[in-house]
Amino acid sequence: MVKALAVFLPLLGAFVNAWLPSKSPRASRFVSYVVLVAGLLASVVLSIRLDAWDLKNLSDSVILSTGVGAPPLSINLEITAGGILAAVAMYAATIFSLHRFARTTPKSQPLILALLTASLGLIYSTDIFNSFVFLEIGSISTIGLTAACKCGSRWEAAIKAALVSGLVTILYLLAVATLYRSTGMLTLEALGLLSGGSAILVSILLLTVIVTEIKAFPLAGWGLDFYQGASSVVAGLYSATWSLAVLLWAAKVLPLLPIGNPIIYAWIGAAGLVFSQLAGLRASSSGRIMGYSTSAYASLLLVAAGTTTGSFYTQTVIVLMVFSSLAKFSLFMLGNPEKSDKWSGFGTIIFLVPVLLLAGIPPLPVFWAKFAFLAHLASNFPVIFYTVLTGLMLEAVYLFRFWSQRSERTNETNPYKPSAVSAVLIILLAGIWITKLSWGALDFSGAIIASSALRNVFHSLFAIGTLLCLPGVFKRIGREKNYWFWLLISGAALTILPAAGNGITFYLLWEFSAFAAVIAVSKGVRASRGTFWFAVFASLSGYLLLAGILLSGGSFAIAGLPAVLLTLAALVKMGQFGTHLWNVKAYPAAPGTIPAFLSGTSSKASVLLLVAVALSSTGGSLPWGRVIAWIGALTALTGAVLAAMAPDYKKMLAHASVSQLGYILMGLGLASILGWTAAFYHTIHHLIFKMALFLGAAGVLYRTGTSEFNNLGGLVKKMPWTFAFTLISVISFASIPPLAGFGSKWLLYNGLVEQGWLPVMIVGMFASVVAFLYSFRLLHGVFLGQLSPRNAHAKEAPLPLLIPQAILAVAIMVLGFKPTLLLNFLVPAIDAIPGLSGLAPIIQGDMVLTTMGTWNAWMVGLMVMGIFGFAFVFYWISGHKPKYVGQLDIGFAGEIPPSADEIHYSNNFFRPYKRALAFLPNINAEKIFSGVNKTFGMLGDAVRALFTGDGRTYLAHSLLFLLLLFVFLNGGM
Amino acid sequence: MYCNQRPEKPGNKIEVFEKITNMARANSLWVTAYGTGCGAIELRPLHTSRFDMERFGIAMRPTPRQADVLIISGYLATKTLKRVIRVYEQIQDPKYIVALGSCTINGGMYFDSYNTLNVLDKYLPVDVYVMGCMPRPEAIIDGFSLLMRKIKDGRAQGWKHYKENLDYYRENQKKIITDWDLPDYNW
Amino acid sequence: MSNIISIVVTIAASLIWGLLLGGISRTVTARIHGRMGPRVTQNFIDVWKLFRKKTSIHHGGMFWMAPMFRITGAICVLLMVPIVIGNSVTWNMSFAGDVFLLIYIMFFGCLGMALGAGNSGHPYAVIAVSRGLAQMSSYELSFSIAVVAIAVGLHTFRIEGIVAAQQAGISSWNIFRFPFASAGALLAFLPMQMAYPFGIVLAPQEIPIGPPTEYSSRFLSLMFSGRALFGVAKLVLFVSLLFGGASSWLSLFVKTFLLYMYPVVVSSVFPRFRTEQSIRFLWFVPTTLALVDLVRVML
Repeated sequence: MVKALAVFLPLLGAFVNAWLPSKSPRASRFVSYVVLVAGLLASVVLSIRLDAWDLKNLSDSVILSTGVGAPPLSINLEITAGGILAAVAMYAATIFSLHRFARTTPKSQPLILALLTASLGLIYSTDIFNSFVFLEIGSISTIGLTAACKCGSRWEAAIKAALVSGLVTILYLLAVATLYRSTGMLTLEALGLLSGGSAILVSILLLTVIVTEIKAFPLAGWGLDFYQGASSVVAGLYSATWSLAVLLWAAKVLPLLPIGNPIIYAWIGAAGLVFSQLAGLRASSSGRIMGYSTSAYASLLLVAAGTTTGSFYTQTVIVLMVFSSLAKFSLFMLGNPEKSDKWSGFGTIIFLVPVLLLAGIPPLPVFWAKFAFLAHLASNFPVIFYTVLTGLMLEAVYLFRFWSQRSERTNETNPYKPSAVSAVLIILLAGIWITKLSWGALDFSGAIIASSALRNVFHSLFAIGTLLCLPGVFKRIGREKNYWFWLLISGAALTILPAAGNGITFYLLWEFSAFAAVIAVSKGVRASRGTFWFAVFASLSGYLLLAGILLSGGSFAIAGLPAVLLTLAALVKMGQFGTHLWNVKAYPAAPGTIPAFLSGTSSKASVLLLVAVALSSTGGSLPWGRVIAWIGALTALTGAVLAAMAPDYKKMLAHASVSQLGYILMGLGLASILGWTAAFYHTIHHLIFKMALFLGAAGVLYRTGTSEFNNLGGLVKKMPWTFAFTLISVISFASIPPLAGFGSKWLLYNGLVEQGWLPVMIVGMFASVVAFLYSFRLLHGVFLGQLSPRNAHAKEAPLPLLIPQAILAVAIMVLGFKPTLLLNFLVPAIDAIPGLSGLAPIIQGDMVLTTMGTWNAWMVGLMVMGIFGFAFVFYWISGHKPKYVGQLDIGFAGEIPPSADEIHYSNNFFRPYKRALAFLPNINAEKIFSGVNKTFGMLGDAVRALFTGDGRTYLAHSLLFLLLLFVFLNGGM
Repeated sequence: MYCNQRPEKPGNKIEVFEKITNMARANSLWVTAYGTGCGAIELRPLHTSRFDMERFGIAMRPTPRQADVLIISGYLATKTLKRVIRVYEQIQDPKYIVALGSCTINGGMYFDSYNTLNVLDKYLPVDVYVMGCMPRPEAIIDGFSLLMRKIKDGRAQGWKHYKENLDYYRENQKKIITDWDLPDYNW
Repeated sequence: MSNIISIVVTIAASLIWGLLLGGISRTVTARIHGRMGPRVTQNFIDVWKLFRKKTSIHHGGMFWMAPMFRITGAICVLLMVPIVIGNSVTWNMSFAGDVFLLIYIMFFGCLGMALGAGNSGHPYAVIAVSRGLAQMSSYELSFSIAVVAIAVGLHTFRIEGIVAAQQAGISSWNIFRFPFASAGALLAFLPMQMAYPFGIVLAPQEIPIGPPTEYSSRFLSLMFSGRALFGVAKLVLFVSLLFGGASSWLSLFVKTFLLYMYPVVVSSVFPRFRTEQSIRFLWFVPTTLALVDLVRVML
């Protein structure tokens, strides 16, 4: 009884609705709701009875027999556990979207219910002819629904769907006829009985039908046009019901096709994935983007069908398809392109969840399926693995661009639909529920980094970094939105990160932290471009990390290619190697203390990754350590030069951050005890000073509302404390004794000389000298020079920002005067790591000795402080009483300076330096990336040329595909 | 934006080492590089090997902040006066003015010009006048040696006089400079 | 105790020697120009006069402290170098660090000075600082390559070690053992001393006197003293690095005097580079020279 209710209630509702008088839409809607809710309940009951919700055995099924006799006279439906899960999703989506039809398509209830019936029938049907019936019902009700809705370019969409469904019908009937002719049966299992020419013919025909119906590349053209043309509400319902049903039906049929070697599916899917996603890069309308995403998932289905079998296949397909369809449904519900593209801040975040889901970001459910699936591919089909990964990466890029473009038009109005929000919430909850299955795989033993001392260093770095960012979270300017929650999430994930014991745990926490940070960045004013770049590079590094982990079998313990991929992931995350673009775009855009968190704390995650790779691959040495050191050195240099030329306070700090991370790479690449000590020392030091600097920048931004050097200057009179802390940080990172920065340089140079890497060292030294350029620029551009009347109202930064800076400044002082406090802890810990070359520095009291150099920070500090203090006191008591004069009282050739702004030298600050550099070719990361972007765009355009928008072309595509398959399969046999 | 404190009146306290300091002041006269009139052309030879004023410790400084001496080199136009006042007041005490040429004494050949000051002393405290139209470099050196003698004897107190009678000078200056837009106190 | 006395004596002697050298250099320059020139004690007179000027002005805290930064930086460099080899009392604080520490602590005074100039609010001061920093970052490249080449070649970063390695007669001096590195370092010495053709920082003709343009009176006098001290510190450093160090006070004075005259003489016959010309020259010529020896050391 429940079985029948779950399947046929919608049909009943449709009939009832059709008979209802047309003047009572309210009544018909009521009927629909009753029917749907009842159907949903029945499905849920059935799913519980089938034990579907733990995804253990999704092939379990019950048979629902209708009519009398065997098919085709009766309809026997096999209700599988996987199918019932999809049915629940379909019911829920239909219920949520029903009220949206009320306004635009009043008399649509019968069609909606018919579509649902067809979808349910299709996923349950076991008979190839019955499937045909459901296919027809579904197509017709789709066309009707599309055309009935008074919105969108409905006719275009409907006619294309009609054309394609016509062709599909012909091919399908041919296949059915052949099947019946050869075997005398019409069940799906009969496909296996085929052989010889008829097997090929049926396979070819059915494969063409399937590829067309599921909208996989290259036959996705009509689907794109359909999604673009149909109204968002129709498209939403369509993707959650019919599209999902077709995908699941295809998943059922594909393994049964007598095609010989199913790997051909995988190749069609993988190639199609890359090509369609290339084309997707150029898509702009939200409907089309959803179309490309559908195509991506269809291709994934093909890949899965070609490479996996059994329950793993079912599980993967169900999770991937159900949740991606739901995500698309909620995106369509949220993004209402016809009406308005406006969301509130909350809406923007709500909007992000389905995007993240489609992009396969943990902990959302699609991630787990993708992870398991990719792991399977990585170990069995490496080439397909790379292809699929490339395609998924491309998909992530356009999805994030889509999101950033949409959220650009954020508005304070609040038009997001409660229905969509609940849909998203359901996805989230379902995701969290699904993930409980994988908790077992998570491991927090900290096995990746064996040394507990180093682990503790990272734990405390992340925790302290996050904590110091927290007090200032409510000091936001203008339209920046609340971000503290995401900061906390990201920080918490980071704090746990060092405890990760296996690859998946590491990846999960890494992505968690990265995308919480992405959301936090998106809270800034006009942050969408910055967020986009951040998201793209975060997912690039995420995918590299994923690839590395998967190729090394879920851990870190393999050298060679996986280690290189992991290293690259860390480099991208650090912004090394020309990928600094995201730092430079995201930090200025990020609100409040987020840049401090990103640059100071979050960037250390990549150091952790590098350390993990080094520790687990070949005993402390990174793959190609010398190359890494060179990358670090060159990035340190170019970053420093770029920082000196930057026109914006936060942009400069972003460049500087990238540059300083280069030193860590140099140290790690050395793979000697001294090098690692230097790297860890600098990691800690970088966290301290960079956070102080960015918190200072946050204070300046908070009080003046700008971070452009041209609008700043002279703030020392207004913000003396911020200046003092910034000054301490600057002196430190310029590595001027007696503050902390010198230590890292000293250790590093000693390590480099010990290993004889003199060229690296020279570049590093040059970079550290170029750092003076931007350190002065920073202090002068913001705090010294003339105070602009624009900033006359500025006050000292608020205490929540100042106090963390004070703590950090004290830390710099302590570390500068007594580095042995840290070294006494670090050196033994690093000395204990096996495989590091070189000798450990010897620490005698305050004296640090290497084979070649000595350094006594305490004495140096005493000397500097003593002399400075003596001079200060002498100055003070010598009776010298200089008179304070105004900022415009300068010797200006006898003239009165025109205005503070006109005599503040800020624009084009290091012009001579730029001129001296003019002989270099003007290579610019932004240009390179826009070149890459353009190349991909051109490729995408080439692919897009296939999809002309003309229905006849699509028919031709299908026939051509058929022909090619025929040639290929015949040749193959 | 500008300093708005009236300068303190210098006391008559004789400091320790005053004599030695005066010797030093006399032997280290730094001149603001500011040519106010045609006489500036006669200053150039002083740098050359023929006259070489550096042997007296006289050097040019490009900024008034570091200078001791302001040379009014010839006629002083009303327009220039404003700048000269600012430059003079920006020089730190003790400071001296050497005025070159007849124009600074009585207007010289421009005595009836509409835009030339006739008696410089009414506007700025001149320590040494050097006569001539224009005075030759030798005469300028002679003027400098007179200034050095005055400084050594502690008689070059024009700066003190200026500070003590600031109101008098300001009144005169404002009579000439009708569009007075300087701050009241230029330090 | 003897150490503190030595420190005080070192500072006082260096101040006197530095100011005297400045006076001598002015005389020498004047003689090259065919002039008489001032007294050799002229710099003492100037410093004293500036110190006793009756008023002075300041533009803010950093402006106020910059001369102290300057003088602290200078004294620190001075104390980090062993002055006379035979007399270990005059090694002062040199045990506390090696040649890297020296290279980096040399920036202490520069940065302080730059901050003071920035705080003065005078555009020319800041232009000069931007030039100076650009130039400094360029000559430090060749200087540090030279230092690294020498230090690695002699297997020690300690100045005492570097000096000790040069005690076997004149031919063991680094200027002969590392001729290219020395040439690079000596070319870098010119901009360090702000000698022409690299005198773009204190260009009095276009950016009136550069960074100290707003400094007056006692501030300026301290700055002069700081520069004198810093000059001596650099001289002692170069003598220790390249010219075998000073085995006695006499040889110290002779060597530093001769070394000091080198930029003076070069300076008085050259015009000035534009900033980018100077930077580019320093990037290529001295750096290439120094690199030759670095490569030699590496091989």
